[in-house]
Amino acid sequence: MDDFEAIRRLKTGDISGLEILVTRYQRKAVQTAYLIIHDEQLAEDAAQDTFLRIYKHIHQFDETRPFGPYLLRSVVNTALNVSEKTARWIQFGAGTDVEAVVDLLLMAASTEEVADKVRLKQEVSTALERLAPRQRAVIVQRYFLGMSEKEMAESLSVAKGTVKWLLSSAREHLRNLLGAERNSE
Amino acid sequence: MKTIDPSQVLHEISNEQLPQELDLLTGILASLDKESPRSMKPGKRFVLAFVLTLVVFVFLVFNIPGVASAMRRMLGFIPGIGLVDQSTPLRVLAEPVSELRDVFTINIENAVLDSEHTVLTYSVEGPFDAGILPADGALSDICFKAAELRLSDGTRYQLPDGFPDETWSTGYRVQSTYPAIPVEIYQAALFLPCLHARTKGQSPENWSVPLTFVPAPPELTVYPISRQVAPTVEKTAEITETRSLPGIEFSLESVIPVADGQLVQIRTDWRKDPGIIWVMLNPEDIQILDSNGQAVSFEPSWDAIDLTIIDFQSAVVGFKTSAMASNGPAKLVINAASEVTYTSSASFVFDPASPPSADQTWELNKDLELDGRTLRILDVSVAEGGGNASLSVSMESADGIINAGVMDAQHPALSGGYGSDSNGNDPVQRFWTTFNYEGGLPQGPITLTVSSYSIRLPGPWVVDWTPMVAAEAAPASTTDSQTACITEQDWKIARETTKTIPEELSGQILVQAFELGTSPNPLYITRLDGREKQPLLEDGTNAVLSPDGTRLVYTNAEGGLFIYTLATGESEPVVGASSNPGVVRPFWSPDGKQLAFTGTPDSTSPNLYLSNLDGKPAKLIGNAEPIKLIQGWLPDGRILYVTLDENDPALKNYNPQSGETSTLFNVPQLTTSVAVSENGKRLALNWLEESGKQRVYVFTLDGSQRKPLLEVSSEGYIRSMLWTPDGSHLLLDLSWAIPGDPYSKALVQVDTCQIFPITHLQGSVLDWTP
Repeated sequence: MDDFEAIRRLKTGDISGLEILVTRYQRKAVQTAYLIIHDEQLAEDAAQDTFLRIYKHIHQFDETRPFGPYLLRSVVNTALNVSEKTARWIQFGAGTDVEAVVDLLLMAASTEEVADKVRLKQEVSTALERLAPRQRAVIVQRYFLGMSEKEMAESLSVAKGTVKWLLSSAREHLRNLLGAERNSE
Repeated sequence: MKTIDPSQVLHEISNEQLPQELDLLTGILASLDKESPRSMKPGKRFVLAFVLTLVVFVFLVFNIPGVASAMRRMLGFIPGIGLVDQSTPLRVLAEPVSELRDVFTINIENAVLDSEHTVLTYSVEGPFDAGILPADGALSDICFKAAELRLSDGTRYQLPDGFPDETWSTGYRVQSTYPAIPVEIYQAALFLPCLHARTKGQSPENWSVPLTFVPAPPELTVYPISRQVAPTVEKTAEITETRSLPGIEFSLESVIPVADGQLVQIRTDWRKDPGIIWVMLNPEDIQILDSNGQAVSFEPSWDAIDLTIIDFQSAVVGFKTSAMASNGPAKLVINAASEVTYTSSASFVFDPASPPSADQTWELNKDLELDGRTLRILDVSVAEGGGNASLSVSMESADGIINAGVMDAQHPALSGGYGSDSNGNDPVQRFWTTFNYEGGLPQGPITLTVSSYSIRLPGPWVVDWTPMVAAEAAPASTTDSQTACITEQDWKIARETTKTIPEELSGQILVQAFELGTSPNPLYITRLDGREKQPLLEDGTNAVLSPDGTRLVYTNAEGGLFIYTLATGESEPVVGASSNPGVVRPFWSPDGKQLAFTGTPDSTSPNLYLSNLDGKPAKLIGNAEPIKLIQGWLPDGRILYVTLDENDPALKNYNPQSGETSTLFNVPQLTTSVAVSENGKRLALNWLEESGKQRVYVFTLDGSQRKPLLEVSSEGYIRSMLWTPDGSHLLLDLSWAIPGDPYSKALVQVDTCQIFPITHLQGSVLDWTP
């Protein structure tokens, strides 16, 4: 049974549709939440809450849209809410920024040496943990879920202030603080 | 270029931390079970679900596949604040707040609250001795904490640590964007754990400033987003030339006319080349020319950029121009993509061999090949001090590389920077990267990786658009009450009263009297009061009466299109559309001689078709927009439709005579089709908000004079909306979570908000003719 049929079943009150969707997507959903929350139990709770919310509003779901991306976008938002409520994160200023994490991530992805990969993976994980949740979400959306611009926009998880932060001011300010001025052309 | 897959790394990181077996279903079912007392009985739930399914199926294609519409429903622009969503009433700071503590003063300057954000601006003045940044002290001791927004229920909105938007010798200013505060809350507090850049104990800490919000006054200026932003080719925003390099595209994102100029946003999109990290446009590479070819001055502006739509695959840059004439097309010329940054993984080894002396430099003169371009590593220099070490790499290129990022993957840097020693015209570009090691230089050889490099790509790219002046743009509706005039409670109360339906509301209505849970959907016509009931068909959907009331177009059980003649009781197929299962929403032309409908033949994207009812097959109409959904005809013969492509959905019209298309305004995620009044002057739209609430708005055809008519909770569902022939009332067909009354209809006088319950009609009202 494909997602479309599962959703149609759900819309007619057939709970078996939910079972199919949960079984199919729960792992990716929990992984997504974990990468943002960095807590196994909270990640499972976030994924579960997302499934529940979608179930309750399934009549508003457009069957013509693919379910997986919709679910995972919702998981990102739920995980963000959980993260920001629990505030289990260290902010920028502790030494990590998104650019550095992306560099590490790309390095880990490109290395073929097993030992290096293991070490870099650990560093990515540690570096991710040092980001603010919304910064983590940006990386998860882009590099784990492979979301397009349209999908990221739809998710609303890239808040104005955070993106502004990511894009320019924070790094520029830090550079200035450290005396590493960038010469303009 | 080597293929890398960062998602696999993230997959492994998360997978290794999670148990092999996951079982969310048990918990989900347990949660549902706990909530069951609030749920409907299974039978009723099935019935409701069936009806919803039916409604959703009828309206299936009217939803928006994967667009940003839900967030960009009714954006306006407030100078100094940015984009605001006006789909709920805006709130502002009741009055500026100023508090003095010790010798520091905080001024809460303004706040604007919409359905998505709380934008708050404050400044702090005081004796910041050596400017806003302290002369000494470790970074870890300095306060970079962002202020929190706190609500009385304990909710705390926190932001990442950061820096002010503006600093001066005796103070700083911050504009922060917090999450939305619930609409019913008018009190909050701004909490500053410490003042920016002060070390502990130097200045006030844990400073809480009470805030009071009020509904935005009518005089608050909210500029509408110009219709010129329409992404498709419009008369006012024709893209006359588009040059795309492989993997990079430029487009005009939006233009907003403001009092003293234009806010222009340009989107750069590089998603087609995964090797690109970033594309930067510098103002010096951009020209804006007015209709006379004269250069128009402009300055960078972030004011109107919707930062929620920026990601790692595209960017939007904004500029504010000086005042421009609107008597002809202006030009935006992008002379070059100033800096295109690509990923790279070229490495080289640097071996300092022995501890460096102060400011020691090692000449390397080593060439690296980066995608066919040569990068020369000139030298590496090291400086040590304070227990840390700074490593700088000097580079040059005569192959177009203007910058390169270098990193030490094995020893992550504490911080770093980069820059250029050349100007853009130098044939050989010299540049450098530096980064700082905590605890001194690592021992032994250091492998340095050129992780990225940048080049400059010459254009030009030219876009034409016709500037509007602010006065031409209809002001955003702030004079109307932003609160829906009918609430769920009003509806419930009205349902318990009896009101005589106005006599002037005559004519025939077409009703689909389906039996819940069964297949046939019999159709009949009747007077509104139930008199003169006349059965028509045993089964039919998408039915609409012809303007003269003598015929009926409908789709049969297989989805084919047929015309039923009331006088004879006979049906005839519409040529070319009767055996097509993908037909939905047929509409008669005002003269009854044509039919337009949305079709999805062979499961293709929904598109517009027109049948002249002359025995020839229906033809595809309109431009190349991929998804078009018909909403009705206007009295002058234009066809109203919604586009649902990758850009913001928009309500448009198509003139079958001239073939011209024009945009009316952007629309949100629709869950019910747009209702067009008989005279074509008024529209009703059902607006789905992120909270799940739906609001019915009444608009004039140009999108102005927006009136929020009805608000439905997330448990409700608006099944259909239909104007009375005189355009004075809307017949609303709702599904509410009201025990014993799950479906209800009422006429609503749109100007007075009077509700006239309709209790005697079973089924759905599909059409109403005079």
